[in-house]
Amino acid sequence: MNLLWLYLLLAKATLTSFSGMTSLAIARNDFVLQHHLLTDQQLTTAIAAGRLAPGPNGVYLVGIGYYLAGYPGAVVGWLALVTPAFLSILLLHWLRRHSDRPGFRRALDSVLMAAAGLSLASALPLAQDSIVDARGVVLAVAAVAAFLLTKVDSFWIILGAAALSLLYFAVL
Amino acid sequence: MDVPRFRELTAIFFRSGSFTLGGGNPIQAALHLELVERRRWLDSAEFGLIYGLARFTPGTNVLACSAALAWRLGGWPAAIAAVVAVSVPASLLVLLLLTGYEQTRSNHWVGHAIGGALVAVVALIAVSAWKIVKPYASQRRWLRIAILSGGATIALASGWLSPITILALAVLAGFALDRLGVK
Repeated sequence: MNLLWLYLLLAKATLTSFSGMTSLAIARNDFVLQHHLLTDQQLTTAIAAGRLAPGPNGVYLVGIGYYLAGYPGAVVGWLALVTPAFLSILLLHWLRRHSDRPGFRRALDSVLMAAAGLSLASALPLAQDSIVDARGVVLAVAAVAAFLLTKVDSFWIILGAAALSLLYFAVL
Repeated sequence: MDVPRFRELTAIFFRSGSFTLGGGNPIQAALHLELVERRRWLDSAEFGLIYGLARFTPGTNVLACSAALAWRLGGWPAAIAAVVAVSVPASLLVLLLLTGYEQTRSNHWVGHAIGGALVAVVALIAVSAWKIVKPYASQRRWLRIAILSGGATIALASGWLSPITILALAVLAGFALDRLGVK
């Protein structure tokens, strides 16, 4: 695995997204669909690990790098994660002057709405892999309700889903 | 306002990034508490401006926000230190979790626990997508949501277009909807 190429693909995902998880659509498209370097199972596991850790949501990119090239890949994933943050300082100079322009705000609104659709589309195949029986459906509905209706941290909801799944396996 | 010391500033970013669960917003709330309310190194308006502008910046918002806040308070060295402090502990924990998973995944008990966690992750992604759209839904911009969000979902799920092409087309479609007077 060429680390520069890996960095460019991961950076493409981070530089074209506007929040931690919206990079998922581009990462899945490149690594799972186009180049077949990663499975949906590995991608979902990397996301789960990222959500169980404190810190930024986009940290799952470190997991992708690790799966593809071991520890050097993880470092490359981290570099791709942090690169846009430094660009932000340069952009902030420019954005201070332009962020109130109506055209700019409307373009950003369009990007965000489309990004939501891309996230949803990326979740569909992951759902096909992980929600395979009635237990999965019940767990998914309960998790959605917990995320939407409670203020419980996502860490505890993911851990709770793991515990419930384990309990189901132990009892039945 | 006091001038922050490099080590103290970096320690704040380290603590906020390493011990705050739940992603970017809770971390930024912790930074607001430390930098604005407790130490008064920034006023709330300036924090709000940087917080808002970080949302317009590509990549992970909380890293952009951290870099810009630290840069404002201590220049480039502080910005580099802040980004490292917020992101490295979480990255190391991800590696620890993944190596642990690889070593134990053949175990049925671990497999079932991970299976449950993955279902919750799918739910989380779907809910995150809804939360992006929610402010527009509250403004009743339904047709725009249907065209831009729904169109992007269908275009990607069907494999017709790449994500970057879809985002570029969404900007053009948004301007076209403006011209047609769609809310």
